[in-house]
Amino acid sequence: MKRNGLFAVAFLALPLSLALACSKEDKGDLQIFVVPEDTITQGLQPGTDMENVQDGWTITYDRFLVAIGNFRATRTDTGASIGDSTVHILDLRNAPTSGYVTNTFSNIDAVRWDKFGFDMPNAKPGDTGLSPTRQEDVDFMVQNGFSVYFEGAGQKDGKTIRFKWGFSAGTSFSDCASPDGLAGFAVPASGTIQIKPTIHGDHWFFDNVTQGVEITTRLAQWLEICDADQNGDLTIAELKACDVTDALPQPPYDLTSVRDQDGDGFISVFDYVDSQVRTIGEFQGDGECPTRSPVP
Amino acid sequence: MARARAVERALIARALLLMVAMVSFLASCIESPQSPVDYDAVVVPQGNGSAAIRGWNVTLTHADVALGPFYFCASASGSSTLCDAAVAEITSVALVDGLALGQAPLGRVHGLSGSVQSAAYDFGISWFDTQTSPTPSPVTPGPGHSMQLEGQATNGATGFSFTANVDVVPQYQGQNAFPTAPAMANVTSSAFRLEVRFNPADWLKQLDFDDIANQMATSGSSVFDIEPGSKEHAAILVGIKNLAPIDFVWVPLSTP
Repeated sequence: MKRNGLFAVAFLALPLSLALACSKEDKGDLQIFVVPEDTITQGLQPGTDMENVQDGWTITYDRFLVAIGNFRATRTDTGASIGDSTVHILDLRNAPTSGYVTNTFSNIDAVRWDKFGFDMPNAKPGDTGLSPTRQEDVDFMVQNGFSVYFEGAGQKDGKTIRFKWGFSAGTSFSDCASPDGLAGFAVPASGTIQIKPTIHGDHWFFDNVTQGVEITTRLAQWLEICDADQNGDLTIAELKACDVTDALPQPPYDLTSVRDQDGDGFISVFDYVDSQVRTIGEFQGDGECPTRSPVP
Repeated sequence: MARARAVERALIARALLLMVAMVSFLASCIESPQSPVDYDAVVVPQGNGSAAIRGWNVTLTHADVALGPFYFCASASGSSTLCDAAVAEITSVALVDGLALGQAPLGRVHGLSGSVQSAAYDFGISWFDTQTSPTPSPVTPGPGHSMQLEGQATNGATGFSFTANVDVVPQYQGQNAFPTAPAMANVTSSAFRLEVRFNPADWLKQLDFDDIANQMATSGSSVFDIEPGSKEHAAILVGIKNLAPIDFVWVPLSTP
């Protein structure tokens, strides 16, 4: 009888302890920092290194605004989720040194949250700025419904091509992973994990639409090719009239994944840049968020 | 003695029960295994070989197209940097008539059951990690090209013939010519058929036929030949990759 009782206890205790091993969790905190890639704050330099513009152009940005928010994370094992649908307008050219702290989630399960994502939607009324973003920049983005807006210039051999381009290219970025491929993030017990959605500023100078590791070459000669009136100001209208077969010849370019974003039945350099704008949301530096889909 | 045996049997039964409970509990933490699948792939050319392109009526009279290999991935991107292992694949290259009426065989899909979310593929010219340069399959038309097209373009009283040798070449070693493309399916068994659908006439939609007509008027030639490296070749690549890419459709086979 005594042996039977012990067996009964073991019978119940072992699965229970296994279950507890799966479910017992400590707590920790999560902080989300939105950071600009150096290409936004420091520009791109000409040269032969991988990060350089290979055809001699120097790129600088004077203004770089984005709408970003709806940060969310999910645990696949339990389905538990956290999130905040707030959308902020951020001036990335003048971002604080450590980036913008957009969210803090306290007392969450200290485990790996393997699904992380965020949106870069088209700006809407109610979106808010975070200091030092100016209210006039917030109003500008909302009035135009832009998801991304930037101003800057390309320079080469004494020639300057200026640009001021806004895009309503609302995109959600999901399944984010760090550069080493680890999905999501892990919250330490009784500690804080800081994660960094990272906005890139050079994808429209790539020679392809990268997937995963950025195997690409940076080129910018198309700035001059598309400036049809040669007045040094490259407009959106000029981008839409600029044939990719002239400005982005294959090879060296590969235009796979470029969409006819303006629906005119023709692939222009505008479609190329707009398609690349939809890829600039990354994670922990150069980590990918490979699942992208349009959002309003 | 009999009672001792009964107790022993009861203990063994409980131990077995305990093991079953533990195994079933642990099994709940493990995903269901995928099963091998193997099914036909066919090409299904779309349209009638004609397209209206900015005032021009364009008709293809010949379209030999090399297709493959194809790799299907469970991840949203079929890129080799995000999809280490395909969930299914067609490793062969087939030469197909892009103007054929009805279906034509493309090959067999070998792989595992489960979700497909993307594809990566070549048009007969591949650049594997083991190759020092892009390499055409022996079955490519030409040989050595991804496709050979012939047709006529007319606009009112103006008309001309054209030919095109098209090379769809991977940009970087280890990547496919089409590094990633949408492809959605949940393949649960071998009772499926993969249909690869494309309309070769729509691949010409980025071509500037007005400009071609002007070039022909200047040169006095009767046939316009499009070769790799030309602006017109780049325009056909835009048609293939951006304006009218291949569609992948998995069709469940009806139960006999």
